[in-house]
Amino acid sequence: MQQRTIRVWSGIHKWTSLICTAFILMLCITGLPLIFHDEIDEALDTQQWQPANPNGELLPLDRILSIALESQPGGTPLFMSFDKERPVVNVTTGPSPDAAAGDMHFASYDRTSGETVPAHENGVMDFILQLHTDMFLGLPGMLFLGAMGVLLFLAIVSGVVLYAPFMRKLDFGTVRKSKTRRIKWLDYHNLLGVITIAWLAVVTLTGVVNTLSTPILDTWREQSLADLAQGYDDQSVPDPGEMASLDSAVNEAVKAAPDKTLQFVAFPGGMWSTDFHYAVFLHGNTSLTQHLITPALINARTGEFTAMREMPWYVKTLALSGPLHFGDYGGLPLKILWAVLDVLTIVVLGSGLYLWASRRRPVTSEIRDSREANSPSLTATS
Amino acid sequence: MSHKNTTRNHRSLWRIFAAPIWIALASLIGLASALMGEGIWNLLSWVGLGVPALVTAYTLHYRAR
Repeated sequence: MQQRTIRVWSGIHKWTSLICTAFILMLCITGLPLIFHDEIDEALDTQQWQPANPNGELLPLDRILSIALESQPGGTPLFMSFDKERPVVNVTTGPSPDAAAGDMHFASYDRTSGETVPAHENGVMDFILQLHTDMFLGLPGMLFLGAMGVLLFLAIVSGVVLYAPFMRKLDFGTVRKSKTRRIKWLDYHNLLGVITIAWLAVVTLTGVVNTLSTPILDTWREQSLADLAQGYDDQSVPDPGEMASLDSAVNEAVKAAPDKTLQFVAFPGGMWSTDFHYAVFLHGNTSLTQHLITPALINARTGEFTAMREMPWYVKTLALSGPLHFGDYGGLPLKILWAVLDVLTIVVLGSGLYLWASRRRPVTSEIRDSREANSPSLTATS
Repeated sequence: MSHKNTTRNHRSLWRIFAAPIWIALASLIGLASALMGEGIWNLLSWVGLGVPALVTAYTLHYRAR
């Protein structure tokens, strides 16, 4: 490789890394406990919750919804989701249909009694999650972290390019502990960086896609649902009092997709539906398709089934970017490996920072020094 | 100042990147397989992503000098 080429790549590696390292370190550190979110919540959840009437009949969804709305006067329903293993319905309400995440209110209800289910109160994990997602800055914070992810990806690519000249005279896996501290950490940086590269690239890119969830869903609404919102120009988003039965809407959706499982309902006017429809989301039943959701759109005033719309590729990409970023899709061993690779990434970031802070000479001399340290008998090649 | 790549002790690009490419392939298979299914697929994902973790442990233990 030409010295000039090396210098250019080294400049890319240095500047992309320098700008993003502090934020990526924060993401790696906050990400570590988030990998074990479920386990931590479960461990802290001391009381075993039981439904009030385990064999009793399930209350209609409309009944649960009105209980939820009574407890939040002036609130509008936003989402309703369904627990997999217990008869529990979760209702998210907010001051308006397009309420920001911070203004939303979440409550869980026992479908056998209509009583509230005590929530997992875990302020620390919520704080960590918020810091990791948007640093408490909402959409701009999310997009900013996405940009940091793009820089990290550029740092990864330039790091691979620079790996070659550094390894010209070394076997894979060499760490020269007996040389200077700088040489030792250079070797650790190169080795751990190249070992974790595929995993880190995937977690980085899926993280970037996750930060784009708002624009992706906006695009989906404009492109895939626009035609369904036609012909309603004189109407506003329906009030809860104007809405048709939620139970029959869900029944219509389930009837239209008997091979799928109900996941959640998005109410009209929010991110996940048009201004006039219930969007009843169903997911597939195989391992791959369980991450992919398909909405059935039901007219929220008349309860009439309108359409079933398969998600476009970019929403499917967003859906698969969830598990591939969180590492929660292959049991506890996968989570542990996720944590190990996360810690190795922290070492790569830390050693990179050290190499920058202790730098003295241009990268090309650095490569020469590294080679000479390896084989003192050989003279420099330039 | 031109830089020659032909010195006797220089390793080819293939030799430099052979191990990293195999590790990356194993990682990607691991990442993808847990999406495909449960059981054997999960096991494959643990093996696949276990490769970078084990290679790290191995090299740090045996190759540091």
